[in-house]
Amino acid sequence: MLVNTFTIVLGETLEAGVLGSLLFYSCHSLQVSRKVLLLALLFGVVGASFYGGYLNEISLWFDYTGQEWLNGLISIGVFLCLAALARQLMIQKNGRQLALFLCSTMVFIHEGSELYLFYASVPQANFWPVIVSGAVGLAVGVSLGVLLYYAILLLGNAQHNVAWLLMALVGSGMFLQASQYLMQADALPSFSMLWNTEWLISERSSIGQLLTATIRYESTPSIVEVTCYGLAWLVFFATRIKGGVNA
Amino acid sequence: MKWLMALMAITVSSSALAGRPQYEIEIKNHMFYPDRLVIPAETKVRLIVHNRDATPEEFESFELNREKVIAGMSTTAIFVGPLSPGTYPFFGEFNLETAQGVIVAE
Repeated sequence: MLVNTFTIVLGETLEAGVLGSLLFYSCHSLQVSRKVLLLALLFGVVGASFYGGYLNEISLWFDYTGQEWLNGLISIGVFLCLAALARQLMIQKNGRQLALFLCSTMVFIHEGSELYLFYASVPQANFWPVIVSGAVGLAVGVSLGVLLYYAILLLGNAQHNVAWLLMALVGSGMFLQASQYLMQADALPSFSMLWNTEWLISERSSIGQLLTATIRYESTPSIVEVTCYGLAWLVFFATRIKGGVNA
Repeated sequence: MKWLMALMAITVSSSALAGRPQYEIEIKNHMFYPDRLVIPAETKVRLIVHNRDATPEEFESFELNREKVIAGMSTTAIFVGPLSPGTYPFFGEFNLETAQGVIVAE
């Protein structure tokens, strides 16, 4: 139970940690006050609590597919906001706060709601041990996010390009995840897998779980998922071309 | 916003009209019943999951590419497939020790 708690909390906070480091970097680079992130955290916590608290009602929407639709829309929202941030970074459009605020809020709702539900499922007898092992997972995830933030800052001239690359990796993964939610809701067609890389990196392995948590690694993707992932990367490439930035 | 609601309604209606075969699973005492479900291969099916426990559970499967949280004392639906013939494990992420099952496509 405790190892499982650590894994679940780390999985959620790892993605939030990577995204958090990119959002902090965007704040730094675009000269936006960090108060925007604090406000987003507040909205995100309230949003995650509402989501967790009303999960049953949300699940009933659209013939029991409300959760997939909402998660899919949040994932698409994070993808779009990351693409907007990537473009702002490329053209140094400073002082813009909206994409940063929306992206941060949706990330907190996305990651926070699952943690809320997980802790709601913990039996009373296991509550404190689970809280402690969850706190360790949270600390590891946050620490990695902080390390990544300072690692990006140490890169000098390459920091914009590395931040863009990370945004493209995470953002395209978010769009891939949205396609999976919509397939799960039968809103997108499902097909057999195009390839199987389980032999190379299993989704059950530590590396597989790390890659899944951060960039949505998928060992058995279908043509719909591969197409969505490719389209998302095209959007990110467009943020560079139209920005006219020297790479 | 109206166009989005209309799109969702059309998609949900088309899904319902498609008349997917339906199968049911229960979660009770953090275990799946049945823990082995046989479905037709190469066919998309609608899995109805009833969570009879008071606490939430997350239905998850790497092989099926599915992940969904089910609130306590509630029911939800998950579309699965079409699957090639084979065995596809699934589990409850919040209770890994007990909540385990397989879908067999044949």
